[in-house]
Amino acid sequence: MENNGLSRKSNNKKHHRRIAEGILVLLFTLVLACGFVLSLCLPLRPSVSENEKRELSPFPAFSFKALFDGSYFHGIDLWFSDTFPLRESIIAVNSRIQSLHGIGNVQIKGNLEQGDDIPDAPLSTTEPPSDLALQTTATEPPTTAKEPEDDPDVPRESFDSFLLYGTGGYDYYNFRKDMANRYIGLINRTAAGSNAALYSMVVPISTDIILPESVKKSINSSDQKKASEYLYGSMAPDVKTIPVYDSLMAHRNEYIYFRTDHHWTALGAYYCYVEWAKVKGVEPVPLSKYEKVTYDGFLGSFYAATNKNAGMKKNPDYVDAYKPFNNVSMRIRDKKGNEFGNKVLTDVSTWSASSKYLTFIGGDNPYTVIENKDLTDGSSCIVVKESYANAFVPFLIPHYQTIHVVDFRYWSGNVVSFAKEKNIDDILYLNNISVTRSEPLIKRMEKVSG
Amino acid sequence: MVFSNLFFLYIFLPLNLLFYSLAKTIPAKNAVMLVFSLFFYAWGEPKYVLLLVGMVFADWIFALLIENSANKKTARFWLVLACIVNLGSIGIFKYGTFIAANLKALTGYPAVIPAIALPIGISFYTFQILSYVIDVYRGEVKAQRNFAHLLMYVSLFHQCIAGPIVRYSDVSAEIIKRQTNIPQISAGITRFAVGLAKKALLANTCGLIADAAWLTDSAAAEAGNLAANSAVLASRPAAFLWLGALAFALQIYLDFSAYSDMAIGMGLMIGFHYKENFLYPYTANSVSHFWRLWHISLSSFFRDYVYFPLGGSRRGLARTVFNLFIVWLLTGLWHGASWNFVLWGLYFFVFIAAEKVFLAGVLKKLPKVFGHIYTLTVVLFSWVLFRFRQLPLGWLVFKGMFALNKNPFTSFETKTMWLNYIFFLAVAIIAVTPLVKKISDYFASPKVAATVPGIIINYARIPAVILSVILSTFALVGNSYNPFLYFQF
Repeated sequence: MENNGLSRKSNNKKHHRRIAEGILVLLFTLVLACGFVLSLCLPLRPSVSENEKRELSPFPAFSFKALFDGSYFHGIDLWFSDTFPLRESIIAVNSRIQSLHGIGNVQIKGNLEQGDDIPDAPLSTTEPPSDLALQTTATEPPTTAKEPEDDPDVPRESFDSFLLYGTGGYDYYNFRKDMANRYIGLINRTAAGSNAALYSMVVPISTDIILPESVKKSINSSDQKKASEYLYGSMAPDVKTIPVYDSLMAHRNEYIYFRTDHHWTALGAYYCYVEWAKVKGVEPVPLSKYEKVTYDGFLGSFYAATNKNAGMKKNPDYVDAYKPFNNVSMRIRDKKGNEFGNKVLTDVSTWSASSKYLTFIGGDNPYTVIENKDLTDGSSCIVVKESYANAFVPFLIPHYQTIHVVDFRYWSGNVVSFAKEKNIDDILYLNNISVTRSEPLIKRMEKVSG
Repeated sequence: MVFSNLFFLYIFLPLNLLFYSLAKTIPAKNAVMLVFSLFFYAWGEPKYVLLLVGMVFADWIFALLIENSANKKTARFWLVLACIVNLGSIGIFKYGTFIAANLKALTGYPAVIPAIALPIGISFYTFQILSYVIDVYRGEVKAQRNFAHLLMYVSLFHQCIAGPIVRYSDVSAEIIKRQTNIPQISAGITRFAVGLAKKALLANTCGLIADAAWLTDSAAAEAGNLAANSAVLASRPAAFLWLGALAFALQIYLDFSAYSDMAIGMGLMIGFHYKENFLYPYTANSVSHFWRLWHISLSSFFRDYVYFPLGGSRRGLARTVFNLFIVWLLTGLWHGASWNFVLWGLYFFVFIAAEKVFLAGVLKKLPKVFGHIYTLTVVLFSWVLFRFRQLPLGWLVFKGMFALNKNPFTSFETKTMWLNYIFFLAVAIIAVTPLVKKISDYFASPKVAATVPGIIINYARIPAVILSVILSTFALVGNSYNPFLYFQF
């Protein structure tokens, strides 16, 4: 009896085991087969990633050289995994899984760098530091009209490192003395070389303004107030510096920075515009005079860089834009050299969640010119900028007949000669503080500056 | 191509398995494996596939010449020649640049240091084929008459480029006669899935943490950035560097053993039985023990072809220590043409020699836990030496781990990083222990397997394996960080 029972049990066991093994082999074969078929569904393969704002790796071009040095096969590997069907949804799933890795509503993304100590005293102007001496115009390569090949085209969607605090991203700012000095140098040279008045506005990023004092103190990010003071204090006396740190700090409880994106909001830009007006000596236009448009559901660069953080998705940003009340026209020259007219504020309500900031002045273009037809005094300015200024520029419209906006990352002219040629009154360098620590950006800005 | 590559997983492997099962006879199956293997190798190294074939051809001839030698003397002559050819090739391709650079530093010549690219897997396949020739000389295996068979054994994509170093004697019978059946294929699939998950879900993330704490390999290797890299590492809080040490220790085991798991798994799918290459090395209770559990196919190669021929431990203590010195010098060098690897090997020599002389006796008298702590500590610091090719950087990290760089103990970022990965690290630590395997074996044991929990666990394996494959696939989509570490050796 007992023997019988045991052997039946043992048969039973073997039986179950065999079934399980059979099912496993079958399912694994199925997974491979599905993967095989799916990965060959070429129309399902995306060619751009909207989230990462980049073109995905294309299928490599064949050449015998590429075949023999291995780059052809390597290219196929890249193309294959980079454009895998359903990649965006799959990446979102990965991000969900990764959120299980640990605890804390604070996360560090990217590789941390160490900032330099910010000098207490401004850079002495009588004795140029060695960094500046290297930057004489003689050593610069001759500027050519065509687009430079080492165009950094800085993808601001990738960060060296940033902090995820709650549902907001906060970019680290690590002061770099050599780069700060080069920034100061290019501003001073432009001021000296041009008859126009030079205004400098260095905008802090949200890290210093928005984060609670306790977090701000403990993170390894340089003090932006001290850095701004160093930058401003080292600029030549005729440069009109616009102190904006304290004003933004005073309004820190308002919606002046995005959480899912590294930019400021138009409201943040407005408060700095008020400071600009004070320095310029003009009456700022009250915000109430503007009609406000709101675009909901903005998920910006931090959202992309966290691979679609679920918390951010639940609490997206919104973009407020303030409609110009003047009779204006705007023309853009884009990166391909096409010229066309565009509204100052584009209607982005149907655009993707990542594109809402593009409502301002048509996004980042090498050259944009805005005419205020209500003015005939011939007043004009140049704004030398990266994307931060986009939300700011519309507020300048009531004050100038012509506003030239140049994005130094793509524009290949020269600010000083351009100002002379167009008989410009004011030059405004409007940059977020991260620019002053970035070598490729500074290098590019030096090329277009005095 | 690497195994954790989507193209491999969903194009190469399915086609390989399909053609393999369509081929009816073993010669036809072998032909399928040979063609796929050469294609696999050429995918990564289009030019050097010729070197691989050429080396196998030369050794095929040498082995036949050895076997047909009239006397031991002639056989010995051919063996020496084979060693010169094999070690000469690895010497040129792997160490040429290193030797030239050091010569130049010492003597000023040669004026130009040749930049020789390291052919993928040369360290692994040269050792495989060399062991074959030596075994033929020793009369342990018969020389393979069929060149295609020998070429298939060496180039087999399962192990050709990153191990395990499979001995010819272990698979010679299976080249001609092997069987596949459902239990074995199922075991192979499970093993493959385990390896894939270890790589894609665990090792890659460990790598990200290690890079964040210790700089990326490419950044740290940049000789021109030594000053900047030193400044960054010197300011890192101690607890952050420890996080890097833990993450790197986990990464290097998970990464490397994952590759062996996948190789063993794919072998089982088609009837090859490769020996285990890792047996939970972090559970070792002495450094010698660690090396009997870590990269077993390499340490046993040096044992059988260097240590024993030198006399092993049978010629007195002094000679034993000398023999160990040679073995560990070579082990270090095998890992890379760089001084840090030489020092890394000699570092282990010191501990293993000490254990031979007295330490093993001391450890035996102490409670077992001391042996484990001692071993883990020695191994953990060895990874600092291993990771930084520029010795000053490794030294800074070592000092920094004890806050001797005037660096703080911890920081906000450090605490945040630890917390961000706390559950992940717990899982990864469990994955380097035999815990899961022990539980699984328990439920598969004859007594338990027939009970209800045993049956449930038996079936639960299916979704677990399939889910691992799918989640690993997901993790590999859009992932830019995915090299196998042992590729560079």
